[in-house]
Amino acid sequence: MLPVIRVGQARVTAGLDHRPRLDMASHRAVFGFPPALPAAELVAICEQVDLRGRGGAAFPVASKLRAVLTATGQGKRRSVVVVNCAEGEPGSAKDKMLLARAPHLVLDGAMVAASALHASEIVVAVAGDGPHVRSVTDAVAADGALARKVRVVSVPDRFVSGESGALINAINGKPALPPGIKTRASDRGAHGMPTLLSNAETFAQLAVLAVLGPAGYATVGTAHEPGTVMLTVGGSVSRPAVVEAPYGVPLGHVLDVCGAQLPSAVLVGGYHGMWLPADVAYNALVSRAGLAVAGGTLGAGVVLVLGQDTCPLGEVTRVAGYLAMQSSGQCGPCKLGLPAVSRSLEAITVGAGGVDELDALRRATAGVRGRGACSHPDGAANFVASALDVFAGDLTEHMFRGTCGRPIRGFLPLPADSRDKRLRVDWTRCRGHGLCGRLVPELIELDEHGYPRVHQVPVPFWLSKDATQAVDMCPALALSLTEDKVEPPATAAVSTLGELPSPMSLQGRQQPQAVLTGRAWRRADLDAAEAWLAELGGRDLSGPR
Amino acid sequence: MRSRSRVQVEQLGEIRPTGRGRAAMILAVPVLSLLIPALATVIASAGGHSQLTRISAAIARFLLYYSGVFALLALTAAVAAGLLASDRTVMSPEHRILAQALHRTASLIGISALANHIMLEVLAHRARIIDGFVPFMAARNTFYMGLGTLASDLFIVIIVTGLLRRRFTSRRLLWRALHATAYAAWPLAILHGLLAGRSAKPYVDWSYGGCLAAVGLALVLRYAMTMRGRNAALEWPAPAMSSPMPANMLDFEAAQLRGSGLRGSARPSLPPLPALPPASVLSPLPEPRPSGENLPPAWRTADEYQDR
Repeated sequence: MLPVIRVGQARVTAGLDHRPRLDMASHRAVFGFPPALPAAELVAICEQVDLRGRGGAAFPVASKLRAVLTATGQGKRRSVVVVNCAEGEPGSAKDKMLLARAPHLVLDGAMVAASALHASEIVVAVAGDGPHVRSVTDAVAADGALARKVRVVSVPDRFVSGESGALINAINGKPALPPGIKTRASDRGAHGMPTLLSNAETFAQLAVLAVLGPAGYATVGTAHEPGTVMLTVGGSVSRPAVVEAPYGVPLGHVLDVCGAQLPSAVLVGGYHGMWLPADVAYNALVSRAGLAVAGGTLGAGVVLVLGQDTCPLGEVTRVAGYLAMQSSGQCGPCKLGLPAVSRSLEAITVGAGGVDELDALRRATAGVRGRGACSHPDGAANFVASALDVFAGDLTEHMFRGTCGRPIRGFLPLPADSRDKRLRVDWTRCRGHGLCGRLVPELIELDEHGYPRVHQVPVPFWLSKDATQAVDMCPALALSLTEDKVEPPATAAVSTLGELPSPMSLQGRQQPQAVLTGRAWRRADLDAAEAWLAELGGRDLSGPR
Repeated sequence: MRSRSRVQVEQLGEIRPTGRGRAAMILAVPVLSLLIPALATVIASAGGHSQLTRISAAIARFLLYYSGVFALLALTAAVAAGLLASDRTVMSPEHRILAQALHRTASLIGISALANHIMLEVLAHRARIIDGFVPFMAARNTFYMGLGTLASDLFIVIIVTGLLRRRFTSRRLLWRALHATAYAAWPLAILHGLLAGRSAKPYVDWSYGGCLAAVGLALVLRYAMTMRGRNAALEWPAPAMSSPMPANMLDFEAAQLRGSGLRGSARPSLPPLPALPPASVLSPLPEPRPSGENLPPAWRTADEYQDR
């Protein structure tokens, strides 16, 4: 679990400097009880501060609320509130952090929305397993009203699981895959009922907004984008962290706080986002408008820093391979196009591709845009295309000299699953029969001599049948499917928590409103939080600490 | 202090990998194929004069006589398709995949028919259950019945190890040896078919002989091709040319690029090298000069401008 760093005033992270996790009592001490707002008023305050969804698409919350109200006849029919915490993005940790450390704030926001909409149920969707799941189930169990209303569901921890359609499918008992025909969740979502679906941070912000009111909420941030935003900063930084910062703060400041040193480029918006050259990134402002001007995107607030000492193209290739295999294999252009993109990138990275390979790469990248049920192909194409722009120098070096001379250090986080299987070739037996290349063209390409070039990525679930068939049909018995060696996930240097710039000294406990402002971050709290989270297994989280 | 939270986390949205449960589906084919003849035999033996009894009796009789023939035909097809699938001189990889699929399908049909054959013979009291699995135990016609049992046992071993083929990647030679016993089992099955049961009509003898000859020939060809191909470079796929071959490429390099230069036997005979003429005879190379009126001005030489 990443530590939390705060820039400026405390909002959703208020109180976290006193407690590793805010249980019910400490949460109420910090935030009090959120007022019960009628639907019209909730829509009005969301509109006043232009509250947007924090999952990446930045859809106005007021519009979502209005759509659900229209579909339910102003709350006369039943509806569902879905809290999306299935952040499939490997670089993002803010929603997991919120559920693990401030679960009641997220649940408060969901309750505010649910009571305004007269929703019958709240579904909290998490991905995988971990402290955040135990924390939220304990938070729900701690309150009888919540326990009656809230369901916690766990969906597969995959990149596209967090897509709203995929999540609705999962809640309705189907595989968590994006649907081919778009229906808006506000019209027909969970159990076929109108559904307000938003990201966990959105609900936390909604709770803060309900407590502070629009004027109080807008005391930080920019005029057009009031409030704070949660960022997850990672990559080659000495202090990877979840950062709460007001909108409009320079990204350079956030990077400094997290200990980025001489980056070559910064990825904003996660693996569906854009690369910014370091100088542009340092001058960009953290807001939707500020990052758009710089040529980036805020997305779900993922900021990944790439240092000078790693091969940028190699890093991009790893991620492109991951994105290709995270396709759900439903839409042809995505399931064939993204592996083609990734194979071309791999060829250029290892020095086996020239200008023709770059042409193929550009064509393949352009060819997947807008041709899928969800935005996965578009997002992956944006990621690769912006990398080709920003790393143009490295690209030429790889194409004409074969390498840039730097190792691939794996700074960009990727999930490692020991159950993943990869195709391997016994080269002493392979006679280049070429059957495998026809059976799994997504994973095996034949070189000019007819020998397989195996794409070194885990075999995705939608190719397991084809891959097994290729193994079965290999005339030389040279191909095999083997489980991954369990490699420790590549991480940057461990954070040195003592080196934060000018930590303000903390006063004692104050009134809730006062606690909401001007809190800084203290090392001892983080140490306590880390220790607490490390020994979390089996502990009861609901009692006061 | 309460021990655990009361809120259950529901696991939803599970995504299954493709191709799960394939082995079970494959094994279900021979098992399910036993149902119809078993049912038919049971109904027929129950007696009575209804239409159903007569149809059942006809089905049981037909399958009693012909399921063995079907097994032999399907396994012949399987052996032939397997041979075909291993060829790389005339078969493209796509066709070899098709041939392998045919090989597997024919084997599955063959083993289903074989199971039917054994079951019906036992139900008709022409053999005991033990005769289906232990060779040379039959009361009469011991030798030729035993050949069939032996062939059947071998086929079962071959098909089971075939289904488990991917487990044999580290014991490739063992698998190859087991699989090659098909070439022993199959002639045994043919002998059993010709001599164990009722006397065959001449056309059956001839067609069995034809099958033997065809597979024998294919086997010889396969062996020859394997021996020839052992040192050869690859036949398939043709080396992909990333760019068209330049027209002025020297013959030797062109041949190497096409791949034939790599093979010892097919090396093109090279023309003898002309002796280098003495230095005084060497003339300066003519300047390459594009001709034609349609060339852009930059290509025209100064002479051409002066001509106008």
